[in-house]
Amino acid sequence: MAQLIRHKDWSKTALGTVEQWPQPLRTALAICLDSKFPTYMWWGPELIEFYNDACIPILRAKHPDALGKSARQAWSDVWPEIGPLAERVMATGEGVFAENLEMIPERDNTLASAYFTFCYSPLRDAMGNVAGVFVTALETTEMILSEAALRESETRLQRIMDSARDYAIVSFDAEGRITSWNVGAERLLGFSEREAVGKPGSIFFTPEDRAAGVLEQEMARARDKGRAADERWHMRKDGTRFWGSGLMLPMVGHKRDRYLKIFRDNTELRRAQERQALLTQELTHRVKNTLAIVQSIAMQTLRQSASMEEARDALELRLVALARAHDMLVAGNWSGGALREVVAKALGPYGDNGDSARIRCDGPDVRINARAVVGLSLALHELATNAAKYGALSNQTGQVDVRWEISGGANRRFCLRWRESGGPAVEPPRRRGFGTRSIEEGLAQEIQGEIELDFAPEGLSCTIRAPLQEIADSG
Amino acid sequence: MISNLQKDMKGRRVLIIEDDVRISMLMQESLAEMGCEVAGTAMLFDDALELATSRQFDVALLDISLNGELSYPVAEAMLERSQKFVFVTGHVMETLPAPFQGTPVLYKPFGMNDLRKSLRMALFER
Repeated sequence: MAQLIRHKDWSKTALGTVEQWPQPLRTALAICLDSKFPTYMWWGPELIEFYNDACIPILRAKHPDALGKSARQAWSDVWPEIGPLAERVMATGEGVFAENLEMIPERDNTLASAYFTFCYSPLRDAMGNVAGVFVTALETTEMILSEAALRESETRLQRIMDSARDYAIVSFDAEGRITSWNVGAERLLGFSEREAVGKPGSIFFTPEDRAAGVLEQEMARARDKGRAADERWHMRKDGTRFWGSGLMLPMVGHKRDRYLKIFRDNTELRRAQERQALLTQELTHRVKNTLAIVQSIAMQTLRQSASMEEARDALELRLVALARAHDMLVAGNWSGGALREVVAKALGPYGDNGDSARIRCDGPDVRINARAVVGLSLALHELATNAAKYGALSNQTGQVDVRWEISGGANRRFCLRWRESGGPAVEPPRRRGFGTRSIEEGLAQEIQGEIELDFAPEGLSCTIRAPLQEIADSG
Repeated sequence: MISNLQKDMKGRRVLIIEDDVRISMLMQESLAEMGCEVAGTAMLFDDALELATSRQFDVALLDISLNGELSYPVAEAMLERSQKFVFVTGHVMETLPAPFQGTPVLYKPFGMNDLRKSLRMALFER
């Protein structure tokens, strides 16, 4: 710049040739040109402009024409902003400092906001009067724009965090203290951001997990493995618990350990899984019990049958009777079934061939429990099979009458009577077979009742009595 | 030979605590076939506790779940009297509480041999 100044023809300017310049101007100019900081000088009432090398990148297209011009012309695009400040310095002799002042200079034929921090100081002549302005200026556009961009990205990030309302997003320092807490965490855990930040992360762990150091283990696993699953009960501020489901992750871009935990309330799914597990367990139990009943029926049938053929037929019928009892239980969600249906199903195979008038069933509607459904189904099956083989249903004229009733007040009792008539003369059995035992022992214990089997010559009868509460479906 | 005779089940008195009467009946028949005597049967918790503390028996078959009620207190009562017993369960795997660990477990459904084996374990190997 010094060279440019020396070689310029100043004779036509208000300053005259270099030799004519006053000493204060030369001294100030020397300081200006020696400085590495962008520095300008505006001298005389015309505000003739000088500047140093550091200004060239800022001036862009204005260089080198701005040299020796009036600042009012050289900076005509931004003079509305800076002119009044310069004129004030000239008029009052007081310096001006402006920080990040926004201007819209014309650059490369476009207008865009630019920011400057600058200082205007008075330059004085030998008499001590204000003769010019000494300007140090720095463009801060980039800093301002990047700060604005940073603020915007922070706002965007915050909005993302705050919008993840169903997810708690929490960060921790190396000691496990909470360093950030989003709206989701506030909603899920009940602690406000102010309450939570700075507290140990264990505040939302259960006392058991706190004692076991679960948070520390999670952080260690996240550090060593890159992630740690978080599937456990957590605790809200009010002490209630929920099933948290998510991850603990090491935070990227930190020299020291920092951790991020993202999780949500998965209590409903967890409860469903627990219900499922319970149901499976219950089902296993029922299947096992059923298999044991099948085994019991099979073993006793085989043991007491005279021939393989007899065993096969008897077993088949008994298993079908059991299966029908199960169908009823399944239909009734395993709570029980209607007694009328139990009776109808047991006698069904014998009442279907056009002479259902031979079988009469009558009694009030009663819902009986699962145990009674199985017990009565098997017992009535034995009675019906026996009737078809040897009793009232073994000829063309016999009849079976099944009636049940409920009597008594507070301790109501149930009574079912099976009565055969019109069949061949009955002979008491020579030995107690499966059927008899199934009824007299099995059913009696299943319903905590008494069974009376009477092999009267005119027809077999069976009376089943039990406290109603033992057989009723309680719901 | 002598040890085999000792392990014979003949004449042993067995208490049956089982809430499913059909399974109880199967046990009774199987035991009869083995030459055992049935010392008594119970289906409900209270009856089970009563029998376990009053009846004379060599070994008991004890269903872990009696109508949904755990029978461990019955087992404790039998332990106190130094009575031998076998747990019976419909579960696939049973995890026994500490005082009962090592007790033989009979898993339903069971065959005659399973029943015999578990009774022998309870009688002779504990």
